[in-house]
Amino acid sequence: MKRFYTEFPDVSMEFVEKHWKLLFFLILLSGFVLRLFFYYVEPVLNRDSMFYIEILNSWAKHGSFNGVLLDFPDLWIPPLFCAMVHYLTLTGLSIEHAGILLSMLSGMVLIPLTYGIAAIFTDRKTICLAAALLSAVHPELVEFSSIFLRDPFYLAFSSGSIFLILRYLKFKSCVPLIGAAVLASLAGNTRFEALEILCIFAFACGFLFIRKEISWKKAMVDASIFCAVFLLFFLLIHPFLGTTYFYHVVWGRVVLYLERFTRFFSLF
Amino acid sequence: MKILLDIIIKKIPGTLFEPFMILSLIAGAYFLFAAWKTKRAIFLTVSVTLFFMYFWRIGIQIVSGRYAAMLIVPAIVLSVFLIAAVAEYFSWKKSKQLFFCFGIFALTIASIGKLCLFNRTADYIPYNCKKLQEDRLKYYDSAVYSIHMGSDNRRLEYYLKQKIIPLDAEKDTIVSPEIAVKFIREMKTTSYIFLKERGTGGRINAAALGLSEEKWQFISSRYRNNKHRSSLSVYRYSPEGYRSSH
Repeated sequence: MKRFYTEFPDVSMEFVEKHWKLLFFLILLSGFVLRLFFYYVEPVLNRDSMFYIEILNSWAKHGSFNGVLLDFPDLWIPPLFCAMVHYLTLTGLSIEHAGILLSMLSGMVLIPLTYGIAAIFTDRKTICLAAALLSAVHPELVEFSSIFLRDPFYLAFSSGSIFLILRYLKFKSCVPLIGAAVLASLAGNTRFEALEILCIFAFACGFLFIRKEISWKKAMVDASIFCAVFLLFFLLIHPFLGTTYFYHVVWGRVVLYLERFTRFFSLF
Repeated sequence: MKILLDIIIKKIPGTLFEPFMILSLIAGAYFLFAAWKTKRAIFLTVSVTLFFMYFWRIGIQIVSGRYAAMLIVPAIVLSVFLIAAVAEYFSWKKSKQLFFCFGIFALTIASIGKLCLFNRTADYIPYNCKKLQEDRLKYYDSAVYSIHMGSDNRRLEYYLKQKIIPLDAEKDTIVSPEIAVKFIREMKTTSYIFLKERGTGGRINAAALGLSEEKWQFISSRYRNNKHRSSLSVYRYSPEGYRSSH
């Protein structure tokens, strides 16, 4: 009997394998329709959305994100999402609609990304399309994509980064690694939890070395490239976005997470 | 311990959707087995990463299920892989395909089913704000108060497009007639009051407050969610009885 780790299970169907492009398009379309429908039935801003709207109104009032600190002295959230919504509003969209548009686009990107992640493990289109279909109808992904939150934006970047890390694991090439680091830094500039991608990369690199799939020299070079590109984009994007206040915030969050981890280990 | 259980049983499964969480955890263990069998780094990374992503969220005690959102895509992919891997245990090709299709179909139907449970009265704040604005045409010089509305005050102001006066805004609770009357006594001009009440709206009526019908008017109400346990209501209080500003 075959095992999926030696040869992937053959559940493929001839019709699906033959017409996968059409089916993928239909999945994308159904995902889009579901998200639009959900926005139609629940077109309401939630409590967290109000926080972003207040920040964006303050940005518009002061003319710069650093000026937002006058209204929100304890502001700690990474600014990429707000910055993107702000720049979208310059096209004439309202803050609310710009935020929803960004959420919906990011949510839609997750469908091909799920397909891509599955395709790293198998070339069976049936399995990849099944994964894409489930990401098109997943209740939380649909909900996230139709509300004004930074979650779908962050999910798109972090899933993209994980996709490229998996490609690195498969092909051991540096090219996807650079892309993974760029996307991880963008995800980190949207939500701090995305910093876990650094750990995921460390596992990937470490296990490749432990299993002797790459040499220690390559492991060191790859780790250096990933960390350098990540740090470069994570920190140097802010002068371009006009959000240099974020440098003060980063250190504060590092200290906070260290405290939380200490508290967790003190439970044992 | 209670907080940890809340994260494991409610917050993470609430975001991942329970079937995907269960399937992904089993798939994670299966990948670990595959890593042991094949010595391939990709399987070891996938399984270790999955468990790491679960455990650090439990470790830092995430305050919202949304912090587990990054697990959704890996959980979906791993769930599909698990269904495909189990299908492999069937001997006929047709039965493998049928099992796989049934598994994906079941997950799709479950997902759409959960989506169908959307909040049918999600617009309870804009709806009440609109009703207030319609009624306010007769009382343009009136003030707008909210009692025990917590952070919902921001949304009220956004949809009302004007400042409101929050009363005891630190609390975010259902208001009883006894609490309402305590605040109402302080109001000297015609005022609109937002409050959350138990069950159907309109229960905090003039009789419950000991006021005349002329002074206390029910404007509108809407359930806050499908459970129908509480409503957001708007009332108008006119200390001098019914009179129009016009």
